[in-house]
Parts: sequence; C-alpha cells; structure tokens
Amino acid sequence: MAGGRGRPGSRRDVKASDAMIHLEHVSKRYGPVSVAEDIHLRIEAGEAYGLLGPNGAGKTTILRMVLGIERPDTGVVSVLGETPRRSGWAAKRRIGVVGEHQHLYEGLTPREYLRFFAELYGVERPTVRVDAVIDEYGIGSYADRPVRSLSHGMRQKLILARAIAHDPDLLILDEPITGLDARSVRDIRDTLLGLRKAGKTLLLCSHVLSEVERTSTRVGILHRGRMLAEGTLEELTGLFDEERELHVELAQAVDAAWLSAVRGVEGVIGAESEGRDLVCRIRAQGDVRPAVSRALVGAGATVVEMGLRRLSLEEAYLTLTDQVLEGAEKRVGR
Amino acid sequence: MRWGLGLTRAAYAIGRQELGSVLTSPMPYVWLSAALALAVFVLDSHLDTIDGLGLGVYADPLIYPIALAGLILGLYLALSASTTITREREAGTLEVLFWTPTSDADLVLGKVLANVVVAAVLAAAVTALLILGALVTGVASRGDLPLAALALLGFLAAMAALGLLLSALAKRVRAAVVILTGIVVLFLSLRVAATVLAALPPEQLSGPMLLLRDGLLVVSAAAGVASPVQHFVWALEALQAQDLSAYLKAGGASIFGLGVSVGLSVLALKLRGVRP
Repeated sequence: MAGGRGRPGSRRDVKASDAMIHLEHVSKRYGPVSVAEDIHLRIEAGEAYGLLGPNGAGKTTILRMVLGIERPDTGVVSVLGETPRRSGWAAKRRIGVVGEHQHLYEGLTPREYLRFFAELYGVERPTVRVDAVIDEYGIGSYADRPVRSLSHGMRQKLILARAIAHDPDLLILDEPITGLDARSVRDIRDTLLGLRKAGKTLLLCSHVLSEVERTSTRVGILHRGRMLAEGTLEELTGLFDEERELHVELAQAVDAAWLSAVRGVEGVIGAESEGRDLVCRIRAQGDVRPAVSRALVGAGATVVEMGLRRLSLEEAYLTLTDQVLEGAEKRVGR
Repeated sequence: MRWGLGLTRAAYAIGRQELGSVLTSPMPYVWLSAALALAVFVLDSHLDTIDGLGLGVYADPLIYPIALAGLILGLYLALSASTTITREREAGTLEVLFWTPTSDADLVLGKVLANVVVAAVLAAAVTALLILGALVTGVASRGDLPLAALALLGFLAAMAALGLLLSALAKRVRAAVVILTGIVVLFLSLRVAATVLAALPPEQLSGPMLLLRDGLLVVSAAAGVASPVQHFVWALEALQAQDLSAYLKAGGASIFGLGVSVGLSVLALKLRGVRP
C-alpha cells in the first residue's frame, strides 16, 4: 500500500512523465481553511482511481488543481506530464470532465451542446462524431429538445457524452451519480466500466462508497483535506481486520458438539451459530480454514460452503475517519 | 488550431454560440424598435419643420436620427455585453468552458466577434430604415450615409467591447450593470456640468468656481478622449464638416478603443478567473 502522506519539506524530484496524474506535497488553503494538506497522489495510465471522502473533504479542490482551474499554494501538480493551466492548455484535449454540478446551456439542444463542445475540443468532423455519440449513448430520443426540458438523468447522460465525445485518455468525474435514479446509475456505471476495460484512465471522486468500490481499482480516502489512506480495495479493507469472520454453511443444523470442536481450533477466537450457519471469529494471521474444516468433519458435520468475510470499504472508511475524529478529540483534551 | 483573422476554431465556436444566444432573445429587437422609433421621430420632426417653414436646411438630415438611434443601441450593446461573461461565471458554465483547451483570448475574441456581428446587424437595420425613409419622404441626403453607418458600426462594436471588459472584471451580473450605469451617469454628469459652467460668463464665476470649471473641462475632455461616445460624435461632426481626415481619426480612435478594451478584457479574465 502506498503511503497517503507526503514528507513535509522533502525535495524529492517529481518523476511525473509516466504518470497520468501526479500530485506531490500539494497543499491549498482558502483563507484560514485548509482544503488540501500535503497531498501525494499518483495515478498511472489505465488505472481507475476512486477518491473517496465526505462533502467538504477537498475532492473537488484536488480536481480543480488537476484541471489548472486552481493553483496549489505549495507542491507540484503534473497531469499528462505537464503542469496544468486554466487557459489554452492543449493537453486538455486528452481530458474529459464530468463536474459535480450540471452546468449546461439551457437554451441549446443536446445535439447543439455536444457539437459546441466537440468544436472546443478540436474534434475533426464534429457533426459526424456527435451523431455517433448520440447513437452510442442513447440520447437520440431527446437530442433535439432544449436542455431545459430534460430530466436530471438525461442531463447527466448528456454531460457524460460531452466528456467522452472527444475520446479522452483521462476521464475525471466528480460525484457523477449523485441524485440519479437506479437505472441512470446503472447506465453510467456500465459506461465507466466499459471505459475502464477500454484502457482509459479514470479519476472518480465520490462520497458514495459502493460506487467507488464497484468502479475503482485503487482508492484514496480523503478527509478534511488530508489523504488518510490509499491503496487497492484489498489493501484498504485489509487495514483493520485483525479479526475476520469465517462463514460456514453446514448440511444440517449446527450441533453443540460441532461448536465446541470449532472453538478448540487454534486461531479461532469464538463461534456462534444460527440454524445451518456457523460464524467463527478468527485471527487474521494464518489460514484456519483447513483446521476448521477438519474439526467439523471429525465431529460428524457436512460442510456445504465456507468463506472469509473481510471488512467492506465502508467499514474501512468509517474506521479510518473515526480514528481521525478520536485523535482530534484527544488533542483538544475531551 | 488557427482559422482566419488569427482566430481559433474555439473562438469561432464561442462566437457562434453567443450570437445564437443573443439573436434568439427578444432584447435586441426591443431595443432596435426603440432606436428605430426614435430615428423616425427625429426624421418626422425635420419634415414638420419643412412643412411649417416651407424649407429646412441641414448639413445632412439623416445624421441626427442615426446619432440618436446609435446612442440607444450603443447603450443596449454595452449592457448586453457587460453581462455575457458574468452570466456564465454565475451559472458555472464559464468553468466548464475552461475544462476544454479554450484560452482567455479565445473566449474574449469569440464574444467580441458575436457582438460585432450583432452590431453590424443593428447598424444595417438603422441604415436601411433611414434609406427607406429618405426615399419615401424625399428628404435629400448629401451621401454621407454609408460613412455614418460605418461610424455607427465602429461605435456599437466599441461599446460592446467596453461592456465585455466590465463583464470580465465583475464577479456578478448585478455588479457589472451597476458599474456600467455608474460610468454612464458619471460621464453624462461631467459633460452636463462642464457644459453649464463653460456657458457661464467668467465675471459670474468666483475664484473657486473658475477653478472648478477649468478642472471639470479638463476631466471631461480627458474622459471624452477615452469614450466611444465621443469618438462617434467626432466622426459624425467630421461628416457634417466634410472633413475626411477628422473622420478617419475618429474611426481610428474608435478601433483603438475597441482593441484596448479587448486586450484589457483578456487580462481581466486572467486575473479574475472563472469563479463568481
């Protein structure tokens, strides 16, 4: 797992040319409020990176720095091997963005809107490309209606189409599914998974844990401007599981003798049963499954299925943020 | 990618989008109707004079109608342009534009381009009406109308560029409109005060009043040099005096003012940024 914290004051060279996005010791304040504190982030080509955090954690600020809209107070931001600039930065042709809010031109139709942005991105033969995107993303039925008459889901689909129409290598999404119905969420998730499969690099910011869990290969947990942890889903969920749960399904209702047989296995801390289900609390170190299986079979039980349950991303996230809150409370002497 | 006139494809796209937005709103037509009504009223009053006296002598009877219609339309274009960037800033669409490779210059040039086209349409409408009026009523023009129309176009474009500068500077639409109104009121107050004081005989003015008059005349003259309205007035006066050289100077001042406003708008946008 990569460490989330940079080393303050260190002068390491930023070798960013091979990374799609690279932030090194980046900090940003708005007046007295620190919105990003010594952030270190590196996203390689083809990665789907989820930036997870509650509202106000600093996710949008990081995205704005990545796009050159904001400049960091300290630290280095590199995107596609260059320092981002707000105005006239040609590398933006390789970046697609879905923002947190739906800022659209209400008087235009989706077709006009997509064509306008295709031209801004310098797409060759924009009309042909826009027609293709309209077909591809199922916008045809409302492509010639004014944007102001579209539902929230239709508008979000249009924004996603705008972000993808110029075939970017890097797609940045800020809360892309907020406020959407289940069908729209599924459509957008399918699109993102398709893009991931196509080798595009994704940076997804969200406070919806399940969404980050489903679409991202690596996750950073951001809280109050600080990167609390970063790693693959496995690494993050494995951070706190000193104990795990072993779920065992038996062919018959659990017998008391089987329970005591399991409790006697080295590494098993405790065991509970309900009907044919047996739940063992086990230590994370070592694999106790063969020993538990042998103990049960030896006591006359028939094992149907056995599986380890680790912490979900949500549990890991809540544990991490709780630790931060506890630390803050300790510091103020509560 | 650069297209003709040094403009990028992005600037053209922004210009076309802006033009569509302006031309599909009712405001230009409302203001044009008011300007044309005023022009017709002035032309009609000329005819009334001719009817009453049997004769009317004007350097060019179409200059006053075009001047008054121009002032109305100039005010409209400045107001309209003063909200164009601030409106996008407030709505959040300005930031979205800068998620693309668009530059500050692309944005400003695109908006200016659209406003110049609107100015050309408005100037053409006023000119066409006056030509029609001259044909119908038989009011004779000395033939200055094409040059007056060109001066009108330059004035309207310069007013739009001035509005755009305020739009790039202001955070909010309301602030832009208030600043523009303040500039117009200040300019008019200066002109009126300077004219009134200049008309008074020096023996009626005490020492401090003389000082105030001289100060106001200097400030008013300085403001006039930078004012598109003054350049327009100079151009029309030059036409009435049949002074082509003065006309070209006034036109040059108008174009120079437009260029300065555009340059400052790019700088203001760079400094002000995209957030309200």
